[in-house]
Amino acid sequence: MNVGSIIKYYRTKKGLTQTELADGICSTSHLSKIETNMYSANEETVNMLLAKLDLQLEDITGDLREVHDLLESFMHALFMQDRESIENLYEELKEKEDYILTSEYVNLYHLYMLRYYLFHWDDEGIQESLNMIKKIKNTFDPIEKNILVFFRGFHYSMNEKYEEGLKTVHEFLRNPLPVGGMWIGEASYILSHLYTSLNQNEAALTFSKKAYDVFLTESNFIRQVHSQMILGISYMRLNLYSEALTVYKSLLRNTRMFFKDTLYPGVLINYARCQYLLKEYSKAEKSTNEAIDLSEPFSYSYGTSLLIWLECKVKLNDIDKKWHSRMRLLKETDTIIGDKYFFHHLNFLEKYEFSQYEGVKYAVKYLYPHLIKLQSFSDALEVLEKIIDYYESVGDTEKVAYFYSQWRNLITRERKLNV
Amino acid sequence: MFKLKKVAVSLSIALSLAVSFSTFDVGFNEKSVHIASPDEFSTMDRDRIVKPPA
Repeated sequence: MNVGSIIKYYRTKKGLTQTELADGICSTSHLSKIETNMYSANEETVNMLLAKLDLQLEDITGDLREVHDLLESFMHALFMQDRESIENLYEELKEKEDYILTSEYVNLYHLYMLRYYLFHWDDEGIQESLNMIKKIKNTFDPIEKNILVFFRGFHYSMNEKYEEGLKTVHEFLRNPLPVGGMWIGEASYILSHLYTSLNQNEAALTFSKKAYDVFLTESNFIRQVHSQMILGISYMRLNLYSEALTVYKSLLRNTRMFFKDTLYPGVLINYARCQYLLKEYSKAEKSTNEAIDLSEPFSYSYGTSLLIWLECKVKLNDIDKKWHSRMRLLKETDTIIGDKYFFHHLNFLEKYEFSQYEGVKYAVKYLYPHLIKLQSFSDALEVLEKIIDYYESVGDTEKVAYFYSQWRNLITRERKLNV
Repeated sequence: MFKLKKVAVSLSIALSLAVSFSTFDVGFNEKSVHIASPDEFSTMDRDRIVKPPA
């Protein structure tokens, strides 16, 4: 316990100078050394100093315990994504900040505040926390150092630096770990999320299952749902459709009942994508219709559901006025989102339906390179397969070989990262 | 046909990881290809799936 810092905190709070407090107890220079924790004072001196501040040693240890409990509850609420508790505890901690900064919990306090700002995607707060942590990190114990490693991994994931994120979170799991299964669950979940972003679906599957098991034991319902969403995506991308459908069945029910405005439209879209891949176009159309109604207009989810819906209608050979008006809506959505993902997909869809040759020409020139730029590897593979099938059908072996090597590069890359 | 080839390629990869892969050499004339500038990137996922929050 840093008694010195705490004595300094209460002395300043009472408006006393060092000379006034030390008077009759010890010399001013002695008190100065005690306050900076350079000197470990004997119990008698400490008690006399505290008595002059109207405090007892038990009061201080009681306050410290309270800070410990507050920080623990704060991190727990962050793990549970319990927004109301997170905000209440944040306020309480901020009220006690002066005191906490003098205590031995100062490092954990700054680390958990970093997690709080990461939770809110608050760039300014994140930068402030990181600057503060930079100044004090040489005082971190091995566990605190490792917590920082984990939060860095999380930060990489937020900034779409997926490979750096993977390395960092794996490093966290190799170092001395903080107490509690939640950390392992959270690290496994972040890994599964990162692997999904890199289209490394076997690894994503392994880690999402691990995360789900931990969250089940810890009764962390929202994270159970999140890891099931990753699980569904992984099964689907690995062509394990019946496993994916089993996951979606419970996900659809739970998210409709408890997260209708937040997670449910996304689950519907993934479910529709699964139905589309199973060539169940009418069912997929129905699911996307519901997703379009529930998604926030012009959001990414809205665009995705429109794209799948348009593709279903093409497959069903049912292109009417509504199709064209939704096509325009998707173009508008693309302009608002601004990464041209939907734009290139739409152009490809239009051209490919008109003539395979035109479609493939467009895919080679625009869509495929753009998907690579966007690191949308799963889509890129699918488009490559269409390109290869086309050149194979017209007997252009040179082009087949060329695009085949591209396809193999993508697959090899995936395998290498999975090792 | 393509599926058969897929299996063959997967096997060949499993046997030898010698195929080097450092960059995506898409191999097109860049002048004729739309290359996204960084400000065109968004922080959202780009796939026909919706990921849960991190």
